[in-house]
Amino acid sequence: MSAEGQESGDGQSLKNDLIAAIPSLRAFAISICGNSDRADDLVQETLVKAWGSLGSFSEGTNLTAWLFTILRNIYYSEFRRRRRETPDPDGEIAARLVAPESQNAHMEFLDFREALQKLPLDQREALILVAAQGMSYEEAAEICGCAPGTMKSRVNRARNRLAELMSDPGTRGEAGEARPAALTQAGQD
Amino acid sequence: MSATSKDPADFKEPIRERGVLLSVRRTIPRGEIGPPQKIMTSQIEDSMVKNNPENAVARAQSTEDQLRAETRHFAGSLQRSMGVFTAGLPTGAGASLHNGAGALDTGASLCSPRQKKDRPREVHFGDAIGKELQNLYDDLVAQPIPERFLNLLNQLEKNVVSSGLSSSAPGEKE
Repeated sequence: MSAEGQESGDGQSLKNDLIAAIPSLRAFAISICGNSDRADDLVQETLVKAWGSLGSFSEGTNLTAWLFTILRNIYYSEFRRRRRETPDPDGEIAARLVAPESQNAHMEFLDFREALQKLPLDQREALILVAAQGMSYEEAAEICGCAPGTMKSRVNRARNRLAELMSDPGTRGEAGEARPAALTQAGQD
Repeated sequence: MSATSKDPADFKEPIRERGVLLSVRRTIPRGEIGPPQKIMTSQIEDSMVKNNPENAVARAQSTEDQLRAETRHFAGSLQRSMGVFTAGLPTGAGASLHNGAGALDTGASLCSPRQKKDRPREVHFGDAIGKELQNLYDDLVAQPIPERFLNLLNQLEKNVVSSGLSSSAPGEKE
């Protein structure tokens, strides 16, 4: 294991780098899963996996981006596993994890955190990585395994959707592409 | 059989009554329509509108109203698109029109008074979202690192942690 070979100064340096990355890693985890306990479990698993896979980490590259990629992979693996294992014939659990479009029609004003959690997962993580973490579209795209153009599109859609969720009914029609019919009338008043 | 013979009789009666109105339209040729006929036509149209709102006259009137409404809508959307167009201009092009002091960062703020009236929320919420998101994220980042992570890294550094931990499920705690 490469960690065994870095028990001296390199190991200490790497440990300090990992400690320095924990706040961002934790913030990202909380943002995508919406639960601090679960986020801490994700971070813990990420640290263990990262420590065990230090051989695959290229020196000089972005450690935070590498850790984000590991955390995201763990989260998605867990997400898929739970979806397979948990009987969810009506899609209720999946609907809770990936923002339901149908519920949006009933919302008039939301707390920002709540609105953020209503975003689809791919849009939420894109917005967090680019707008909050300050990564470039290219970095965020590499973490999410998509093209930079896709990342731009996700960020734009996320911003529009958030604007729609946070706005009053009168602005819903302009903010996003999804325009609930029930609110269209209200928007014209 | 008696029931079927009654049906045509019942059906003929209203036709005979309606024939008064229908015969006016049939017997007067269009070429002879003059001023008196116009009055008659308008009376017929009024009665038709009152009696049957789904007739051609009613449709024509509603179409006319719709056209007026569309014209109004088009005028509004034209103003809006002009605003968007102005917003897309380079900073120097429209800054003096609305703000002589200049120093405008984005095209969106060029036509601020008018633009705000037409599409106020897009720009406003865009900024608010950025700030809200940054505040939320900064608060999360500013939280103290839980002790469990420091202990975990210490354990990993000392190679105390067994390989079994790395394969533990994410939901498991130490």
